[in-house]
Amino acid sequence: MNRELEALLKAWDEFIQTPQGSEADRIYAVYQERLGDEARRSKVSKDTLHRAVTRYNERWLRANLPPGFPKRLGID
Amino acid sequence: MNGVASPTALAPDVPARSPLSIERFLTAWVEAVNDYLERQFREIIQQKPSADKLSQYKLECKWLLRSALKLDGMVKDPEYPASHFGPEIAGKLLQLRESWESLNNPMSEAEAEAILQKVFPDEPRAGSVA
Repeated sequence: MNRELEALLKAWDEFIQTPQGSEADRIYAVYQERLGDEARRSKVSKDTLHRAVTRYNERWLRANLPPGFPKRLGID
Repeated sequence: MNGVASPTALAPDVPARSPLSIERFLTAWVEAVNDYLERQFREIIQQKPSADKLSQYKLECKWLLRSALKLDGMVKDPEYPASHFGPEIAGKLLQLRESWESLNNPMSEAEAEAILQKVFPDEPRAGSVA
């Protein structure tokens, strides 16, 4: 997988797993910065890219589950 | 579990003459929006919601969004006594607009795939398009 895409997915995943607070704010800022960089580089709007990342996150999570882990996660 | 909401806190430099009732009202409104955003994240984004649940969230979002628009205009009045809430209300307005967009125009997995292929070309994706 592309390193930049993986970094973006990891940052979003880390943010949604972090309890609300200053650490979550810091992670969200990192995610926003990465998102902004990629959006500018590719000339895709930041909002569109964000929606694509959050939509794709479900499949990325399933693909990265340890062997034997149920793949449905309750989100199918 | 975090949602898209950010923490709620009164600004540290609250003017002494800012009426307490207004402070309480705006703090409660921000908390209500944060509560909505967290629930929407948990029940809509992380799950496949029923049509009924989706409809309830659309109604809730619509009226929170309308209240945000009114409040955003009100705190921009130069005479408003709690204008330090302005940035937080503007932030909630943006989050509610994003929520409204995701409830009414959800992106399909194929659309997400196409956008990511454009931004990160020639990279194999995880799994296949549903």
